[in-house]
Amino acid sequence: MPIKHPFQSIITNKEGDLLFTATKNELQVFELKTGERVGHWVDVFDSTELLREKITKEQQRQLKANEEKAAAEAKAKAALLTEEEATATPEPTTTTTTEEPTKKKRKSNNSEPKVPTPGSGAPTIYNYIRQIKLSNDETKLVVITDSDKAAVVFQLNYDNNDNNVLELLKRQPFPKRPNAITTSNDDTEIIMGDKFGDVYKFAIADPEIKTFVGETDPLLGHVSMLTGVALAKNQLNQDVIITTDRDEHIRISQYPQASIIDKFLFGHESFISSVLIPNFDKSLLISGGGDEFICLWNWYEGKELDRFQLGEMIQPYLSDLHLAPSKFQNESGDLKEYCVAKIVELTQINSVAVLIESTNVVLVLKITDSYKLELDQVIQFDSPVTDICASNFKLIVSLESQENLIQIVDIENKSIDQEQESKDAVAKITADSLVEVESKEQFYPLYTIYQLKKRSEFS
Amino acid sequence: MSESTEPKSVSATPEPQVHNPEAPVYHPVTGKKLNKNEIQKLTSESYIKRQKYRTEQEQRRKNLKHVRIEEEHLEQNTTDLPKKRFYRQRAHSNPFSDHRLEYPISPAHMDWTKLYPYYIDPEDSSKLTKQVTIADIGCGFGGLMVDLAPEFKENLILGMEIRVQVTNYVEDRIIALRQQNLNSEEANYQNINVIRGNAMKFLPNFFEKSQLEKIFFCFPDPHFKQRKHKARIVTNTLLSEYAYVLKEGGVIYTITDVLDLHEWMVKHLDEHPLFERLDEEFEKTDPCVRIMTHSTEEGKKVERNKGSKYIKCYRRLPNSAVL
Ligand SMILES: C[S@@+](CC[C@H](N)C(=O)[O-])C[C@H]1O[C@@H](n2cnc3c(N)ncnc32)[C@H](O)[C@@H]1O
Repeated sequence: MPIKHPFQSIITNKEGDLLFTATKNELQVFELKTGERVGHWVDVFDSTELLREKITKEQQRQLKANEEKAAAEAKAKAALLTEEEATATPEPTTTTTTEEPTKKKRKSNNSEPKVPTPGSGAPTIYNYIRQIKLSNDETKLVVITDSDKAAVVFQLNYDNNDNNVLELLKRQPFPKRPNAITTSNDDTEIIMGDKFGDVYKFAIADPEIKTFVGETDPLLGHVSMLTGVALAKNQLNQDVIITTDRDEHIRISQYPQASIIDKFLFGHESFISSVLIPNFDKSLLISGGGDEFICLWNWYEGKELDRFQLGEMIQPYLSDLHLAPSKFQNESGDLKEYCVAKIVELTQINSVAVLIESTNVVLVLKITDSYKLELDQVIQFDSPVTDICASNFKLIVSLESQENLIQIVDIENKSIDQEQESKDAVAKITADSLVEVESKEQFYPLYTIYQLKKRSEFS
Repeated sequence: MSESTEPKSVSATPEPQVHNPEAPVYHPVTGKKLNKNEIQKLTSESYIKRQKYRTEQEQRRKNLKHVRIEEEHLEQNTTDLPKKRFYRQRAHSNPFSDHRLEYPISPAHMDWTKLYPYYIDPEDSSKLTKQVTIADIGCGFGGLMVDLAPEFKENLILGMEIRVQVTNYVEDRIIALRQQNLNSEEANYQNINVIRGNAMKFLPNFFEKSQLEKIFFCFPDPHFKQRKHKARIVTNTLLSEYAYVLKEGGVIYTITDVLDLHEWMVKHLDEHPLFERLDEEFEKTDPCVRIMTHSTEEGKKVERNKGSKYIKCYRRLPNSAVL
């Protein structure tokens, strides 16, 4: 019997009447009041085609390299012979060539480069919708797809007769896999950060599909994986862009003049996965990732205000899923690792909700009047939480569960909404979700943030 | 922090056993099974000699790296300059991989007192009386810093280099120079030092905004292949980070013998809104241009091979130039 695939990411609007979900290569939009599905989109782009193209290209490249190498070696041999013959003054070698100098003859144990063919043991390639985001005015939905490394923009059209609010506006591919996306403060532009650290922007209204070039087109770049991008306004009401990376950096640059870096927020010791500027106080920024703490900053001044230690308090909620891989495990074999997957704001109560990856809990941290982060509540669920989002009134969690794909939490009471209407909506969404698989083994990756942890050997 | 004087157990020269040529041989440190070539390499005379030399130098470096060198040290230690051939390493280091590099969490976390002990603030021994203002990025064997030291006595100069052995060489070279020139009026080399680091990832972890007056890029790795251009140390996106650590009016110096790379650097610096090209008059008169043309190891090699050298310098404009 087919089973429901959990939602990989969810977002909602400020009013909390719509839920946008991404599962594998599908988007579904639900009305939160009724559970009615009001939008659906399947990314039909077939990337296996692209992959085949890529492999063929790589094959050709390597075959050519082999040929060139053989030719160069033959030439080197010949040169060696002539050099031995002509003993006297050797020609001065000039290094001003613009081509790559032919490599010295490699040692014999170096085999020919292998030509790749995807074998049966090759890791599965998951092409999924990696992030979804609403524009500030909530009229557009933007998502990033793995399949063709694109940003896809939808107009949200509620008067559609075909019962689908998602109206495709634009699909813009990029040279490298997109990793984070947002819109400009005025919602006219899309800003995307990729796996290799470059950030690009394009105008939604521009009918042209651009061909971006990594050498010249990025708005800014980190030499690291880009893990987040957000736009904000600084204390002078100027636009700024906040970019985060795998190497602990939170960078703040001007926008769109991103060549001017204003500051870095230094303090993290592991990757950053989530930053949030809460609407209740826009001078604040809360950040988390691979560290065992969450930081509260005054980002206008670049000052760290407080650090909330997860260390002791999180232990009871960790499980065997958090045990470190054997290679990095301690002697007693009980080292657990965890990371912050998501931070969202609970505006009404001056708090944030924090999801620790692969746990059944959401932490509610209050920001006090003296700018401290204080644990207010730990909300527990009966299955692991895959993502969280919040409207002005409700916290919504998506679950790895067959009973309920989501739960709705009332922010005032910090407990699961017990109203019948809400329960019915949850049941309907779960029943109506279209993405099904044969078994749990076919689930797309639900918990991926921990992979950002750096684990290199000494070199 | 006091440096431990106890010699950290440095493993003796690895000597794999080779009685039975068929029996597997394992690396004495890593435990990895070795193939024939590796056994040959590890038992070769030159390898053993290099290991021995490195072990000795490591000991010396440990003892002297972070101390103020006084007369007494001179008696106990050799003051010979290190020999470059013992520090050989693979030519390229991947700037994208996450080497287990040490870098400070922020510039405020950086302990500079170990690198420039002569400039420790008498009022507060955790600080220096001045900041580093000159950086040599990818400093290689350190020739530029050695020649800048007497010319910029009032400045602290830092070389950043990603390769371990090369960094070790420069450290040893500076230790020796400091010993040899303890009372020299002309240059005591207390104002230069080196740090291992990936400048493409972590420069802002070391330097505050607008801290630097000069940044040098001397004979950077060319990364010829189109595919590898992003590995070049000058790109339009990295230039913004260099602009961040440079103060207004500060200067970026570039020199290379590879025309293609020169054109690449010029193109990206020309296009960057925070840099302005300096004219030939500057190139003719600025002392740093003269020094960087002749003092680096790579530059000397180019001279021996009668290659060309391409130079361009750029001034950091105020942010208002963009807005
Ligand atoms: C061709 S050498 C030039 C050395 C020296 N500047 C000279 O002129 O003799 C380039 C040096 O840059 C170093 N390097 C390359 N990428 C680097 C990075 N990201 N950070 C620091 N050093 C780097 C290399 O290890 C190498 O030693």
